[in-house]
Amino acid sequence: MTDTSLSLLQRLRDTPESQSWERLVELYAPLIRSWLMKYEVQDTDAADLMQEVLLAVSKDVRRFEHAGRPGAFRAWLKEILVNRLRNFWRTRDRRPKLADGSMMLEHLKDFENPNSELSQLWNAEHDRYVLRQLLTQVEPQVTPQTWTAFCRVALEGQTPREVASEMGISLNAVVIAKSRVLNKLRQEANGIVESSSNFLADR
Amino acid sequence: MTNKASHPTNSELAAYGLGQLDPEAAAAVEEHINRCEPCCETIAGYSTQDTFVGLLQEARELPTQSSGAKGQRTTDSDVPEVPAPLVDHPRYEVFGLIGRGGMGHVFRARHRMMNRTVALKVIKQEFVRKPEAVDRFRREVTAAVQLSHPNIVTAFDAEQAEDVHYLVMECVDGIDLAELVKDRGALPVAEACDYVRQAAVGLQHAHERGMVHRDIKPHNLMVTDEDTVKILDFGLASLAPVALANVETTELSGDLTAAGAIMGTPDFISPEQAKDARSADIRSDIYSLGMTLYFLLSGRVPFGEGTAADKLKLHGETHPVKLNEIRSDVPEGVQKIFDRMTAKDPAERFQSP
Repeated sequence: MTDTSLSLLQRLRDTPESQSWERLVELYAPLIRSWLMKYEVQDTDAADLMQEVLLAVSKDVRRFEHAGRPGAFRAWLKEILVNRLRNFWRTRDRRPKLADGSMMLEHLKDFENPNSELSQLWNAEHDRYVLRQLLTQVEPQVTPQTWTAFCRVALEGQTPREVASEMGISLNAVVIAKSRVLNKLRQEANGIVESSSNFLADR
Repeated sequence: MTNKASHPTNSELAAYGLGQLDPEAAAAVEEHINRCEPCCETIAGYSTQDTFVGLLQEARELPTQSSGAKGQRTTDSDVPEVPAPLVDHPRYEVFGLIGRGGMGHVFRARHRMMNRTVALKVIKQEFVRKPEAVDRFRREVTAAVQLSHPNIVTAFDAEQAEDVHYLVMECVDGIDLAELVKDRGALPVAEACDYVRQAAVGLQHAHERGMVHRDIKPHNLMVTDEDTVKILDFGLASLAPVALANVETTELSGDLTAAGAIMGTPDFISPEQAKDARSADIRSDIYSLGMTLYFLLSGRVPFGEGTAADKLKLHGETHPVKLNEIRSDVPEGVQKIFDRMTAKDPAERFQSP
């Protein structure tokens, strides 16, 4: 994390596979796990599939073309996940307890359709999970005071003035803390979480 | 923008406040507001919200990967909380508590994808501390999942969320027989016999598939609004300690306390099972069902007096007060069936439900 002006996506592409792997796991394991569970894949099967999905991402992330399409990355990731799930349910004689395999395949078709409710759920969860991880990663990069001021204003909705007087710091410091942390988060999320990229100035 | 006279535009200030400026522009605004209080005030007065900030707020509600501590909800009432790993579970939306039990509490939940209502029985931590107990539990539930019968509450799966183990099962609207008797007192003979008959039909189905329940008691028999009896908790008794208690030894200590915690009081347990839980077979269930019949007809447990240890001893040695001494309308035939179901020697009982 030496060059802070890079986005996570850029760093995923630029770092050697071995390093990007850990970053990917940290970032995406919770999300993928939750979706494997939705598709009734559990335990060792889930661990295997997770490995497969993240390996595919780590291998191909360099070739991933963003092309400025909103949501391109999460759609790409979803495609990889759907493919692995389909293989799983086609080839394994492992019937889920709550539905049969063909029903799972039906659900997968629904999931593939970018306009389905499932896809929208995926989009929303993708952004939430990734940002959750980013928050965790960014916190130690700033001073505790900056982090606290940011949390109170941006996440908890207090006014900058309240926070300044409660924390006994200047209004200026609160405004700057919030702006800097938000900026860092946007940069990190750029290309992965789309709403991060509506920068006023050209990048 | 370093000149105090040339203030940043309002849209620049707003964008700065939301962290939207590129580093160079942001640095310029920062430098400016260090000197210009009005501009700083302007930023502070702007709305703090945009889509991205909204997403961050939502994201923060998620538990972090490593700990479930964030967003933990605790109250001081004794209503059991939905366990933290099940809050915002990806697969289940968990609603309120619908039942309490010695093994764990039961919550109503919706399977998000299948849009089906299920019940989740969350196994208390003390029963799943040992890996071998978890293994046994999973094996038994896997077997129980094969059972499909109108007189058995269908189990779907045993699952795990972090360190919480839970059983996913059919959600039954109804009342258990212990509760029913508490509300209404002893039941009419025909009704009690019908309930026991239905439970026996369910047990027969399980027996044909090699399953033993091991914890048949009124609390584990549900009656639906249509008067259908459904047996609860197949497979769960596997979490009980293997050696329940040794009736012969006078020193009944730790084991029995643990057993009592799981089974409740041993009011319905067969003598052979009390000695060694591994020896329980379908005939032990028949014994327990017999004692359940006694409870339904008399409104009381067969051996009401004494400690758990005393009760275990009584199951091994004596017979409870005859049913027709408690109430006059119990036909001789019913007493005979009860006697045969609850014979001390399994070989003298009905051999199948």
